[in-house]
Amino acid sequence: MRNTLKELRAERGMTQADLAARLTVSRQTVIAIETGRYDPSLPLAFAIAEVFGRRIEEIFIHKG
Amino acid sequence: MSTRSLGHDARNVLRFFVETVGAVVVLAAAKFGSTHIAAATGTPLRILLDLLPVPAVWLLLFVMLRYYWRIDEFQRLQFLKSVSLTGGIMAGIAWSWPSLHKAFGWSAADSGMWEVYFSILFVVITAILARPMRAR
Repeated sequence: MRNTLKELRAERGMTQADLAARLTVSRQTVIAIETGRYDPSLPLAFAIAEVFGRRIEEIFIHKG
Repeated sequence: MSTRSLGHDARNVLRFFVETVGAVVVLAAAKFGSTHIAAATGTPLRILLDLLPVPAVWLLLFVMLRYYWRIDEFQRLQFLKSVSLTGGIMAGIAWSWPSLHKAFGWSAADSGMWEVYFSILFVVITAILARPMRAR
């Protein structure tokens, strides 16, 4: 799974810490998602989509 | 906001390590006291010494659970990795030790200290997994 989290965050001028605070997760988790080391749970994916006003499938793209 | 968030993450991890290392020290001291302080069998002091590690073991479990409930989903995954890796390594050592002892005559490990070894290894593995990640 790849994602556009880093690009979306950069577009809005948000830092990883800002996003982490919005999502009430750690910065470590944001980094892990951005670098593709961790695929978030559905509730967290929905929360991310809500923050950026996008649909989940616009942010998380299945590689296959 | 960003500094506060970074600080919160670091504080959370630091708090866990301080609490866990503290619990490990308490456990090691309790085990040491239980095995090295001489007291006659059946005396109240002996019973007290034998029971000494029990609250220490539960304190360690309490500290671990408290951390688990405080962290987010990715950190929980890392935490569970630490627990399973530690358990796997300790089981491997414990189960292979009798054969190594037989084959090479190595002195038997103090099996009464397994929980102390487990908790030390757990702290080390957790520290490795919780090290700050750098964005690529």
